[in-house]
Amino acid sequence: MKNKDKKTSTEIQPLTYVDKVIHEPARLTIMAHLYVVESADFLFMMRQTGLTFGNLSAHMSKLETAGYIKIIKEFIGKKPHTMLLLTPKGRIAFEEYRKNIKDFFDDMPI
Amino acid sequence: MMINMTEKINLKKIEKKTYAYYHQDGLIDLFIGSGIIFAICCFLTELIWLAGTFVIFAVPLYTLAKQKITAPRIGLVKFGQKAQHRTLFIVLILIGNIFLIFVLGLFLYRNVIPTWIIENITSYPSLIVGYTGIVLILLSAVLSGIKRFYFYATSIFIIFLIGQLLSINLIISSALVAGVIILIGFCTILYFIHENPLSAKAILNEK
Repeated sequence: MKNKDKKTSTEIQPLTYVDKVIHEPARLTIMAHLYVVESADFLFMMRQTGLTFGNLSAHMSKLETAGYIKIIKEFIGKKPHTMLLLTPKGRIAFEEYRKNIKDFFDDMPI
Repeated sequence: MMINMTEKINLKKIEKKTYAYYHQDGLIDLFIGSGIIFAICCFLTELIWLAGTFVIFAVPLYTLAKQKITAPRIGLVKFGQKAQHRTLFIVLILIGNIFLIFVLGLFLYRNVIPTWIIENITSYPSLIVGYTGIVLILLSAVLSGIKRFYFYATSIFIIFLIGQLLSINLIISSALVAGVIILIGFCTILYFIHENPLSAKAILNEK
C-alpha cells in the first residue's frame, strides 16, 4: 500500500511544478491568445476569451503582478486605449507550462 | 473560447482562429474584388501597367477602414511577424493572380507568345485562368483560415466552367467573379456591423 502511494506521488510530481498562475482556465486562455499575437487590446481579448470586463480585468491584474503580461495604456485620438502583450518572462513561463503539462499527460497510462 | 486543461493546447489552431476572426469583417473581400475590377479597367484601357498602382491607394484605404469599422467593434490586434508574413504572402498571391491573368490576356491580345501555347490557351482560356485562380485562392484559404475563400474558389470554378462551355469572354467571367466577391464582401460587412454593434465599445475600451 505504502509503495503504491509512493509511486502515485512520484507520477503526479510534475504537476507540482506547474505554474498555478497560468493553470487557471481563464488565465490560460488569455495567455494562449496573447502568445499567438504580438499585442491585442482589451476589447479583442474580451471577444476572444468570452470573459466579462470585470473578470478579464481581475485576471489581467494577476498576470501583470506575476510579470507575465504588460498593460499599455495609450490614447488613440482623445480616447483611452488599453493594449496587452506578453512579456518575455510570460512567454517563457507559458512555454514551460505547456511542456510540464505535456510531459505529465504523455507519461499517463492510457 | 475557454481552454480546458485536459485538452491539448493547439496554438496553431488558436492563431488561425484569431487571424480568421480579425478578418471576418469582409474588408479583405472588397479589397480583392475591387482589385480585380481595377485590373479589368486597366486592361480594357490598355494601361495594364497601371494595375500595380492599386496597392498604393488601396492599402492605406484598407488600413483606414480597419481602424474605423473593425477596431471599434471587435478590438485591435497586432499579429506577430509570422502572421504578418502570411498576410503579405496572401496579398502577393492575390496580386500575382490578378497580374498573371491580365499579363496572359495582354500577351494573347498582342500575339507575342508561341502559337502552340496560344492554341491551347485560346481553346481553353477560361479553364486555364479559372484553374490558376482556384489554386491561388485555395492556397490563401488554407493559409488564412478564412472560410469564405473556399466559396470563392467554388464560384470561380462554376463561373469559368460555364464561361468555357458557353464561350463567354474572359473579361466578363473575371468581372463576374469580382462581382461575387464584392457582393459577398459587402454582405459580410453589413452582417459584421449588425452582429458587432458599436455600443459594446462604450462599456469596454473607453473605460
